[in-house]
Amino acid sequence: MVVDQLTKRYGKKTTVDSVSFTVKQGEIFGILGPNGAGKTTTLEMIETLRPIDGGEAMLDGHDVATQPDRVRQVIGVQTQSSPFYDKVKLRELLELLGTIYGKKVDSAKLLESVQLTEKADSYVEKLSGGQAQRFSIAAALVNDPIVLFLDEPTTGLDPQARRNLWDLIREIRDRGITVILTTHYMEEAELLCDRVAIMEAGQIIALDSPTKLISDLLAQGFKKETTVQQADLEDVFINLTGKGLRD
Amino acid sequence: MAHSFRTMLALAKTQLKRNLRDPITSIVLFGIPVLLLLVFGALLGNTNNIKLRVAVINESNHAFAQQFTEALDNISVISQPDDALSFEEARDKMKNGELDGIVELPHEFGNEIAGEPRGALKVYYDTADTQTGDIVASVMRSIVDESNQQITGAQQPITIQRESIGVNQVSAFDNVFAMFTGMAVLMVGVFGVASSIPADKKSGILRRLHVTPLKSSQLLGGTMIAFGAIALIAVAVMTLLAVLVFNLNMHGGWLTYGVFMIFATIMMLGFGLAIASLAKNSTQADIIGQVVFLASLAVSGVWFPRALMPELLQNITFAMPLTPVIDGIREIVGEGATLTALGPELLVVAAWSVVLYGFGAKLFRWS
Repeated sequence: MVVDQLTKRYGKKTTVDSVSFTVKQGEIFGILGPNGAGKTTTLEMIETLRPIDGGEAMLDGHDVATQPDRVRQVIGVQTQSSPFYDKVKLRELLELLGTIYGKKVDSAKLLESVQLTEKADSYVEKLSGGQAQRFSIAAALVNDPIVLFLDEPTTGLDPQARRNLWDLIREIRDRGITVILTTHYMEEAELLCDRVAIMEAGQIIALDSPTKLISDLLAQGFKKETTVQQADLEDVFINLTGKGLRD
Repeated sequence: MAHSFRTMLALAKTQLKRNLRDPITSIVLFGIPVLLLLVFGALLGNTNNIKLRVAVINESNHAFAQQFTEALDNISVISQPDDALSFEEARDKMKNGELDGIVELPHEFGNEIAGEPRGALKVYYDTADTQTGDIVASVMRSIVDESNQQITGAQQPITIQRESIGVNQVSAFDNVFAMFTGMAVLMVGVFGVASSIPADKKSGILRRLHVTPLKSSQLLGGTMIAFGAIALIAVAVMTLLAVLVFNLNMHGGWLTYGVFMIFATIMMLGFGLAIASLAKNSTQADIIGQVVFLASLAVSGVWFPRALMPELLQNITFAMPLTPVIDGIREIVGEGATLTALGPELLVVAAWSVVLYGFGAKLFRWS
């Protein structure tokens, strides 16, 4: 995927300002930044949800602005809130999405891949936060996409659910699907992403692998005062409550 | 094309399941029209008789006045209160809507002059309901004319004979059935479709669907099919109740009725689409829907008979969407009208459908 000088304006305000980056096939690419940095807007332009005001985005050889239908066929999207029809069972929703994409869906297998087999006949509104996020990822995989977009996938999840979602995202990457995610959790970007673009006020201010970014900072003479600990509070919590999912 | 149709049907199936599984939706879209039909149907029965609630205040001591009062007891269209009332009590009841009129026989009523009883009775009615007052006065006039003929023994030189024209007679229940069936379909449009699309927009569901290959025509088509099915189920339930409970006699063909209701439903759902596309949010959609609903009831003769409107207004209100639906149902059920005979009504329905769907489709936005 190639993004070149991508721009989004609302009146006089430029929310995304000439952003450029390339995403390699099969990598987990993160867009990191605080709220209001322009992460979601950037993603939504590439997902064909918002018109592009400047620049271009090419995905799998298709121009996002002029060939949105082709792009929608090959991407999977998990939006921030990921809403679905209420009073419709999970397997029914997956089957509906399959019909939309013109694909036969094995809903049982998909639900199994996200550990939701026993919830096949449940409604989305009855799921916990972690279950809902896992389902939204399953729904985004219905069409075997080549690129999966995840918008702040672990926001609001407890530590166990977050870690399990990270494992799921790695598994998806290992299947050969390119993953592009936005996050404002530094730890998530560091542990999950092969490369990270750091956004601030609509612009990319750094782009590289987390390791390289950290080593570049250290090379500038940065020194962090730390007490080396073998564990942190999150480890305490997980140790006390168990690594398993709290569904 | 086949894929597009399959997608539309799959979406329709999902929407239908979703709405039928929601008890509140079922109550609003099915329960209310059915309840109204049952209540009004029970009140009216399936007879053509009208009953006027009239209090007779006899202030005369003359024998003729007493005989006259007793004779009024035997008039089937007049229903008198069980208890004797004073004039003031009767007037208060009329103000409360418990009486349609008051007939007062003054002190001198029935006083014999030249061997014949004489007198002028007074008919009082509520000025807020002159229509009913006219009916009461008309009935009393007939009774007085008959009494005069019996007293004088003279034959009326000029008389009137009444005869209805038409194969069948539209009963009061037929009118009620037509009204509430039309209303039920309108409700599915302005409260079902009009609320559903903005609500899905607000929750982000439409946005989520917009990142798939789903086209707006497939989304809207599937939604219309689902709500169309709901509307026709409501019509079927109401029709079945009307036939089984109130002995509704369908003089027209069932196929004619079914086809007409499909066209009517398509138009009414178009209202919902237009409102949903115009409104910026669910609140606006609800408000616009209520305005459209109430205005439709007002101009289509549900609250106020169109026959009593000025001619210009009658012509204008004929072109209002609910009017041809109610007229069409009434004519099919009561008079056995065919689709050909309902040409003017179907033309209005078709014209509104084109306008509403065109408007709605043009204004529709995913978010």
